[in-house]
Amino acid sequence: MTNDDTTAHAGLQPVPIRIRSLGKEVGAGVTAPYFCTVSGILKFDYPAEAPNCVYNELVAMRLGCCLGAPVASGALVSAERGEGFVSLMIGARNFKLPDLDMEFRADAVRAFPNHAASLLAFDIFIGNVDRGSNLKADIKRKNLQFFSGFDHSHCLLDTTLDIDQSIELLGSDELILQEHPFFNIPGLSAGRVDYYVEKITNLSEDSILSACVFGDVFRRVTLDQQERLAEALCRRRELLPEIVQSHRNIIFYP
Amino acid sequence: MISARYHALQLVLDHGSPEPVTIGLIIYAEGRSELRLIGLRADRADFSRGMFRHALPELAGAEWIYEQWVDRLQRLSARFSEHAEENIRLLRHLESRGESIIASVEGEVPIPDLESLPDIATALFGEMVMNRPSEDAIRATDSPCSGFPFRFACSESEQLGWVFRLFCGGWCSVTGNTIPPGLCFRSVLGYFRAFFRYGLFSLNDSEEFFWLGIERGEEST
Repeated sequence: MTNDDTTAHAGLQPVPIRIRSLGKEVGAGVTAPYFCTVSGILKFDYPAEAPNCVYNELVAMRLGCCLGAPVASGALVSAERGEGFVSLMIGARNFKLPDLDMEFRADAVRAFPNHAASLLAFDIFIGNVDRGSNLKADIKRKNLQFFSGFDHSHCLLDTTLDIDQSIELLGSDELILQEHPFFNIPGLSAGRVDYYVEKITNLSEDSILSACVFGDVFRRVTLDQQERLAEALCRRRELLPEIVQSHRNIIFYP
Repeated sequence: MISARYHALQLVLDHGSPEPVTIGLIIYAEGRSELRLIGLRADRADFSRGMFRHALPELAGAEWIYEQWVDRLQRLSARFSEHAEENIRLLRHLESRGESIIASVEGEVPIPDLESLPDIATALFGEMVMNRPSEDAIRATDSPCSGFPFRFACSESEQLGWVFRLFCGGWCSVTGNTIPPGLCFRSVLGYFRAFFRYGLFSLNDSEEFFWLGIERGEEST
């Protein structure tokens, strides 16, 4: 028995993040809240490979939240270099869980069939070409398990090195992903993936617009580019069942 | 003589104050490799939570993360024969990925032949992790513990059934590390330990060898 069940369609288990230090009580509020510090990884745009990293991270997290996909929580932060994105660290205090080794992906699928299916469908949707080992999965503990994808710098506007080409690809019926840790893995059920594909298909246009369009230029990303990305994702949402269907030989284990 | 290369495996608990602690090593030569790691018995491939908790008490509660590291490093070590270059690249990149276990310190040692690799791995583990000098130097003549009150205690262990602790103003630990018989001194992770003998105990209907150690550390005062 795994921690997520075939028929558990309500949602996936949330992932706790690490508290670095606990401060004093805030001193107000019926819940007796505390100040605290949490750990995270701060990223900025990286012109050579992911020029719109911060935007992509933020939008991927917003879309992931709308869909209940197992992606890491994060926050937009302000730093001397401008806005950055902090991906909140999961694991125990001061000790990080290692990224998922490719050799353990079958174990991860076995332990987290729904999470794996959901993440795969999500990555195809956002054109994430760099899932690789950017995934934390606790495959040892019997309880309190977690599974979470992180690093969404190479997707959405940076699916390719050209924004226009990325948007065009996302609006097409291309699979985009050449590889993925959960491609061709025994135990990954097509039915589960189809379920999460359908969930994405049912995502409202308004949710996609809210996730992608910020109402103003964001770093280097113009409002026009944000709107075109939202349009492309709305098209991709509708094409997704067909995309998965026509690439079953690549995605699923025979 | 042939040449073997090794990577020290180091624990980084806080990237804000990087002071890595060496906890093991991977050594490889001609497609063969050996892994030595705190919590992993050299004569067995299994992980001992009891050993881990005694050696790295600051990671209490994080055994499940460490176990995943152990799995990962064991698999990496096992595939050295076919994927040596990929493994070396993975080890070198651990630090730049901000991982809690890094392998940036590496070196080379001459070994007589491939068959001696396990022994060399154990010896290097002793020197690098346990800070243990050579066999001759660690034999001592005076008991370091005279004048300290002794207390013997047993406590339950999840893995083994029982853990024996010999208290001497601080606490002592049971380890599975192979060290020469006789009285010896060594510093482990900042604590001073004196190991004086090994014992044979019956645990869960099976006989197990353990070293008893006496440890003087912060808690001994």
